[in-house]
Amino acid sequence: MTRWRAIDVALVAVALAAAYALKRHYSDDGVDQLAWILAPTAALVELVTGTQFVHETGIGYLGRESFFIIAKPCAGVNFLIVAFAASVFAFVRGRRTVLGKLALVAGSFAGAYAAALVANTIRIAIAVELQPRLAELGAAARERVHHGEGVVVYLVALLLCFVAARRVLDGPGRRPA
Amino acid sequence: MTLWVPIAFYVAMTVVVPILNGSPVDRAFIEHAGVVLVAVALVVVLAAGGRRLRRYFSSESTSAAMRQSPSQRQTRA
Repeated sequence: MTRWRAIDVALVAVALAAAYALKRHYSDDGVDQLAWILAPTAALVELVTGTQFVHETGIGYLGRESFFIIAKPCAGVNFLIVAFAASVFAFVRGRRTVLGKLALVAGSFAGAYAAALVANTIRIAIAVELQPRLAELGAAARERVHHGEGVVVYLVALLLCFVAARRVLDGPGRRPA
Repeated sequence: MTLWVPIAFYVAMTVVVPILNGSPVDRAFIEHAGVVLVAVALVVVLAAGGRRLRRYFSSESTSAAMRQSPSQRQTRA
């Protein structure tokens, strides 16, 4: 196994600092400041489900026909942070050059952002589909189902992304950059 | 490398970080942590089962190839 070098440790520290800053932004700022991830998520959910979502200041994106709200917890920022930080931590040692390592950090963020959009869309599309079927359940039970579905969707998406990244970066016949 | 890295980061972010941030460890949080840990355990069991199955079938195909006679092997080649 490749040993940790100073540049690897420094890049993991940078990734963790970026993750911390992103977490602070997610915790401290309102739903309108998360438009950079919620707006494309709402657009993708519209594309998949056919439900129209409109932006409501301070609330999020409201589906008028389904009465479904894409709110702050639907942003998937924790997923994005985990996917980004775990990729940098796992793969930075395998890159040989500094340029390759920097490209890995940038690519990990871009990949994590794209994966978060896809995972958010799948999670919300399932929730929109399930909503009429769960109508007779109480609000607390509906919340539990939505939460459990989120945990499963995000965890499976995270592992699939990781396996795909491993194949691309460390696959057979590939020389680390 | 195994899938431990993303799993460890996921558990850290969804369970450990909220505790360190001072989230109240109430009934709702324990329920959330329970769902996360059960999902992780399920995924680990499924991944281990999948890996064993893959290993079993790959060893089966290897032994089937070994059982073939030399002439058959030559014909295939």
